[in-house]
Parts: sequence; C-alpha cells; structure tokens
Amino acid sequence: MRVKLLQGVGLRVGTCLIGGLVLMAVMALSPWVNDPTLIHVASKLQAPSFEHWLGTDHLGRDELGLVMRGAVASLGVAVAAVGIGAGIGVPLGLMAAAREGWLRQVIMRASDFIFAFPALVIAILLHDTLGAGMLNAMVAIGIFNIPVFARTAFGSAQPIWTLDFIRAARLSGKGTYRIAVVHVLPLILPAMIVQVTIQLGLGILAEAGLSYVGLGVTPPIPSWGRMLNEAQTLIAIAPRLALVPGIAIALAVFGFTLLGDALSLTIDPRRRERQP
Amino acid sequence: MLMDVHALCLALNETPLLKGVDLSLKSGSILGLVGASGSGKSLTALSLLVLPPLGSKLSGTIQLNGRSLLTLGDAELCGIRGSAIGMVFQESASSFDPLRTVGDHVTESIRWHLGLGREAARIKARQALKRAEFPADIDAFKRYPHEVSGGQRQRAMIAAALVLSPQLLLADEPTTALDVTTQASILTLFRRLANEDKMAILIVSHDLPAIATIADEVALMEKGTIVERSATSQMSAERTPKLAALFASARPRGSSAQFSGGDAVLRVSGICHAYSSKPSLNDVSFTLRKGECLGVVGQSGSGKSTLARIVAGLSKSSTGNIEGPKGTGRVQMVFQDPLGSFNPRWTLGQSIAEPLRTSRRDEVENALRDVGLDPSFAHQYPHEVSGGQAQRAAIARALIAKPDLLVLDEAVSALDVAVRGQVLDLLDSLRVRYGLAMLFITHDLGVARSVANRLLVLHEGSVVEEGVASEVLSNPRNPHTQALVAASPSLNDKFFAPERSAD
Repeated sequence: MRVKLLQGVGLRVGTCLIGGLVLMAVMALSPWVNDPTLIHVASKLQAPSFEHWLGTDHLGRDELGLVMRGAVASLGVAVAAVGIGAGIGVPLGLMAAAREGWLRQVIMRASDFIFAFPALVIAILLHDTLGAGMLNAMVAIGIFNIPVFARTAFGSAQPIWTLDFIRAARLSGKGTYRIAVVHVLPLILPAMIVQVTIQLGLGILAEAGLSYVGLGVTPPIPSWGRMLNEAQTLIAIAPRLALVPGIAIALAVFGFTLLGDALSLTIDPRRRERQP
Repeated sequence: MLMDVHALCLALNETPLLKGVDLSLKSGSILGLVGASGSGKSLTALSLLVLPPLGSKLSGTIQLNGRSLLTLGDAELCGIRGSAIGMVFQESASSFDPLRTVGDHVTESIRWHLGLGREAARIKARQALKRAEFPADIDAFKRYPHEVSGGQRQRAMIAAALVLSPQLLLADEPTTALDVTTQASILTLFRRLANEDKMAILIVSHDLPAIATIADEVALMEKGTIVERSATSQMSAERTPKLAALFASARPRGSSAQFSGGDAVLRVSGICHAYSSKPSLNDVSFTLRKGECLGVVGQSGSGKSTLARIVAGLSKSSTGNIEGPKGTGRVQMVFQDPLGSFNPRWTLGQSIAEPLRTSRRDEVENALRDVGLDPSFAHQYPHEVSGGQAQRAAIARALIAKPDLLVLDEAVSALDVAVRGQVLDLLDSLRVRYGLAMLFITHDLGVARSVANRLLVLHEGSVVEEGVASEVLSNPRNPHTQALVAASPSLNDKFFAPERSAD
C-alpha cells in the first residue's frame, strides 16, 4: 500500500515538474515573450519587481526570461543527446545480444572504452573539431550516452535470447535480426523508456556543467550553466542570480529522476515486491 | 501423535485456499500429500510451519506435541522452525546462495539455533551430511552450489534440515527436479530417516507412484481439502477411487496405433558434440521414419536435449551427418516450459501463426481445433491460460505449417499427470493422422512407453540400447537401462496391478 502511494506521488510530482519545464520552454519561444537577451545596462542588477519578477542581471537582462530560455537549451541538448545515445546504443546492444562471438566482443569492449571517458573529457576533445556551442554539447553528451544504452539494451536483451519462444521463432524461419526486432525489442522497450528518462535528467546536468566551463552553449543564447558561471562573481551582491538557475537545474533533474524511478517501479514488478 | 492438524483454513484476499484440512503425523511414519497443482498441498506444508503467504489469514488448530502453534508468538515459532520442524524445498539452484559453500548452508541453522562456534558447527554439519548420504569424497565446505550435482544439492538441503534432529520433516516436491535414479535414492533416504531416526515426514508431491513406493499413508488434496486418504497398502479402486484414477493416469497406456514402417524422414549418423572439450554426444546414429515416434531416454546430463537441438538445427554438431527435412519450418519443436514457449506480449493466435508466411485466421482456428482448444483461445495471452492449454497451443504452433518432423523436448514433464495423459493422447492421434515423425525426449520412462514406438537409451552421450519400446522396457539388456527401469515408479506394478484389480 505504502509503496503504491509513494509511487503515485513520485509519478505525479515528476510529471508536474517535467510538464512545467516543457511549458517554460514553449512559452519562452512564443512571440509574446520579450527577447531576454536584449541588454539594458542602465537597469542592471535590479531587485525583483512587478516589471521583472526575478529581477535583472549585471547586463540588465530579465532573469525570468533568461531562465525560461535556458530551459530551451537544456531540454534541446538533453533530448538530442539522449536521441543520439538511444538511437545508436539500443541497436548496438540488441545486436551484441543477438550475436555471440567477435561482433559482441567488439561492441561491448568499445562501449567499455567510451564509458571510461566522462562527457566533459569528450567535450574537450570535440572542442578542437566542433568548437564550443550547442552542437558540441549535444554530440559530447550523446557519445557518452551510447555505451549506457548499449549496455542496458544488451543486459535486458541477453536473457530473452535463452527463452524457448526465440527457438520457436528460429524454427519458423525467422533470421536473427528479424527476431531481435520483432520479439526482443518490444520486450526491452519498457526498460529503455526508464533509461531514457534517467538519461534526460543526467543530460540536463551535463549540459549545465559543460556550459558552466564554457564548452557548451555560447553567448548570447541563454543557458543555466552559463548563468551560474556569470553569477559567480556577483554572489555577494545578488545571490538570487545563482539561486534561480541552480534551483531550475535541481528541479529539472529531480523531476526526471522521480519520473524514471516511478516508471521503473510500474514496469518492473520484481522491484516493486522488493520495496519494504 | 506428533502433530495434529484440525480444520486448517487459509484465505487470501477473501479467497479461501485451504478449506478445513485435517492431518495427523506419527513419529517414524511418512505421509505423502498428493494432488494437482493449485490443490493447496504446498500451502498446507507452509502452514504447518505457520509461514502462510503475506496478507493471508490462517485459522484452525495445529498441535505439535500438544502445543498449539497458532497461539504462539513469532519469537517462539522461530525456535520451533528449523529445530523441531525441518523443511526441504524442491531442488533448484535458487535455493542456495551462490557465494557460500554447500557446507555453509548446513551450518547456518546450527550456529543460529545452538550458538556453536565455527569448528563445532562444522563437525555437526559433517555428521548431518553423512546421514543425508552426501558423498564422503566431496568436501562440502570447499564446493559452491554450482559445483555439485542436483542430487548432491538436494542431499545438502536435507542435511541442513536434519542437522538439528527435528521431530518432523516437511519436504515440498523434494525430487521433482531430479532424474529417476536420483529420485529413487533420495526417496529411499527419507524412508531410512523415518525408520532409523523415528522422524515424522510429510512429503508433498504431484507424483503419486513415486511417493507410494515409500509412504505409509497417502492423502489426496483437491481444491483445498483432503478428499481421500488411505494407508498405502490398502489403496484400491473401490475404497479410494480418486487415488486409483490418479495412479491410472500416471500409468503408461501404450501407443494406440502400431507403427508399420514408412520412408525415412531423418537419418542421423555418427554425430558428436562437445561443450568446452567435455563430450556431450559421442557417435550417435539412428533413423526415424514417417509416422514413427522415437523416444530418447536417459538420465539428466546424458545429452538428450543437445541431441534434440542438433536435430532441430538450433545447434551444430562438431562431426557427423544429418539427413533431414530440407527447408524452413519442416522441423518444429515443442519445449518443456509451456509459459517460456510464448512471447508474453503476443496473443496465442499471433504466436501460433508465426511459422506461416502469411497469417490466416482460419488456419489458426483449425490448428487450435486440431489440438482440442476452442478457437477463442487465439485472443488469449499466455499467462491467461493453464499449463496444459499453453502446451496444446505450443503443439498447434508446431503443427500449423505441416512439418515433417516434430521434436519434443520434455514436452509433458511440466504438466500434471491428468493433463499429461490428455496431451500424450493428443500427440499420438496427431502422429497417426498426419503420419508425423516424432523425436520424443523424456526422462520419464512411463511417458516414453506411452508414446514411443522405438526407444533410444542414452548414457553419457552414447547410445547404450536401442529397440522396440515395449521390449526395451520389459526386458532391458544394458545395465544403465536396467537401472533406469528399476528406478521408474510409474512402471512399477506393485500398486493397482492389472491382475490385482481384476479379482
């Protein structure tokens, strides 16, 4: 009973947080919202007022507008990165599970190799070829996501290959890759959806980190990570400038984590039973 | 009486699962509790330990030496479980912690209940292992569960139950996962423990013929109550009609139509196979003709399943030659676990249609009718049907593309005896109707005698005997075959022998 209740609360809170995040991004792109990147040095560092709900930063930009626009960058990078990761990683994992022998070894060892490099290191490596920017962040986090998805897909798919209905499918003339798509993929999909949710949260965190050190989104496009960076020197004068993007990052990651956890409880009944 | 159980009831979410079970257990005697799956026999055993499933309500009286167990608190019950009452589960690798040695499992309850030190506990554990006839040349404290055989694990589990000299031993399907010869030796061990240690033993099993060989008394459960009970020696068709019927359904019935030679469908010559340099098949050759059922029997590990997979083309043999039906779908297979044979997300209809190039509804419906299922089963999911129904659907899938050869790997082993009989009859009639060649893998000689025209006996990967099924079983020549026959309770005519029921 208690588990079910918690699960319900987690699902609801997570959905609300992510819903709010998406709404913020959509509103920020709508033509009715003023462009927050316009600089008004004259009205710099204003306290929250009716005109600027969260005040302005050191260049006089509207803090609320910046945070809303920051959600666009965060979501955009996270979704693209997870898209790259899942789009390449899941098929690789499926293939590795379907084929014993050298192909599996090559895929899984390559995954281990990439997994050894954090997204930050990959971004620094890519910096020379792509330069700083949104694309750099997407590709770097995306590459980091590939082994994550390859491993999860491999781990979920491998036990399915030992089941008898796979043998029956083989006897009815289906080839290995056809079985992987028709039988195995739908069965591992729930686990993949949970992984997508978790990786989206991590993706937002990674984007903020890359932008913070200047490897991600470049000015003038607003980004939570860079907002934090710029607020750093002003922390004594206007702590709100650090708090606002910080809280935004925390809530977004929290939302995706809650959602992923609640989904995995719903999808995996064994985990549900193990809960106290 | 050591234990008296009266009007034991168990309800889970308002659904009654046990409806007034009465039992009594005497020191030095064995009670066999039999019944179909879902009849409540395992629940009865767990209830005697006062370990009902979470959220269920237990009522009635359970008296052990005059003490009423249901009125005791959890702390007192913990003192009784394991020390006064021991429990043995069905052998499975999952009953053991893979990171601890077999011997550690035996010492666990000693250290818990008696508070002995490590060395003292080991000495006691070794005594218990010896009593459970765990091989003396294997050091249980140096072997991990995966390093010993299933029979040895089961002996270790019995040793763990024995180590505190309980007055009552409960065993839930203790031999179901074991092959016939190991089963026979484990059952003999239970008999010895009852005789020599004056232990009361309750054995829960679905296999009446096996239990009847050692039990003093048998009780039959149906839908949560005991419907018949009798001393084993006094079972008869008049006094205990249901037990007699259960015996009859386990009895091999003999293939209905005799086989009269057809064209060879499968020629296997000299196949060998090895898993990491350990040979699992050694120079196996045979021929299978149209309309013939060839039974392949042997102990577990004798290479039966490997042979089935090689014939079906799912594995490759290292050497040898197979001339079989050519083309996809000409060889089909039916597996042991009916649930695992179906994609859980697909309806049975979708799965049955899989071997067809283009799926047609009437073909699926015909296939379902062929195996005695209503066409409406096409819309059911595997978890919504019983094991017997799922196995019929698996046969429907195997036959829908009209194969030339059907390979059955322990296809009825997971089924209840009554259902098993129906499925065997079905296979026999399909074989005759379609002139199907069948390769029937089984560890159960009773089953083999029911369906097979010819038998192939495998031992450690080699064919040790081959011939007409009835002749091989009634007059086995090879010592390995003789051991298998001697250990098969369903071939044993001690109870309800035809000549006895005639007079």
